[in-house]
Amino acid sequence: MPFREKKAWATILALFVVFLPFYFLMARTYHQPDPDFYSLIHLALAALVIFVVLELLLVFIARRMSPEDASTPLDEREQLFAFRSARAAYITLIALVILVTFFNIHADGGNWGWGMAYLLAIILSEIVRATMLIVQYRRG
Amino acid sequence: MPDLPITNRIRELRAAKGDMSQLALANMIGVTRQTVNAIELGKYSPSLEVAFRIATVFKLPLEEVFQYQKN
Repeated sequence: MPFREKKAWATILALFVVFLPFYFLMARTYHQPDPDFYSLIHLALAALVIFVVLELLLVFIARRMSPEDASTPLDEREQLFAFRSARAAYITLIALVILVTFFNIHADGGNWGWGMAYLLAIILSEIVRATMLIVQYRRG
Repeated sequence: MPDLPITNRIRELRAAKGDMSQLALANMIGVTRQTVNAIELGKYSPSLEVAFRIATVFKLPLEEVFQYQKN
């Protein structure tokens, strides 16, 4: 498996490991009668830090597993993969942001709720980017 | 079965050149081994520049390495 495919798997794994429990805890806190928004802010910051550390760790492991691949710059085929993936992620992000904004206008979610919805849009678009990369590397 | 209308003789030419590995060819033309494999299998059409680099390695004109299938 090429290093950049491993890196994409690392991104997906880190996103799921960190943000799935985060959104579960966030939703539980959010629906309490008197939610403590400061604890949610701390939780969000902790999730971001853990995500960055976990992804760096996984990428470090991937680099150790494929040292030659990791030091090679992107060639034209990999640049094409990266471009296609970034385009798919961008379209996803735009669509989700429009969707969240639309609901924001028509529903009252509170600042915190909408902030988390925009964060989710970013996370989902990143998942699309990494998944597109993996699919293209798998196809060859 | 290639997916693209461009076929090539890279595998055959590598074998003729003392069983040159995909990695060796990849290093000579500045792409990854996976990209050489994808080109050989007809899954990826290289840029003109990479195609010329491949032809230069085998010291052959471009059309003797790559063929365009009209159908």
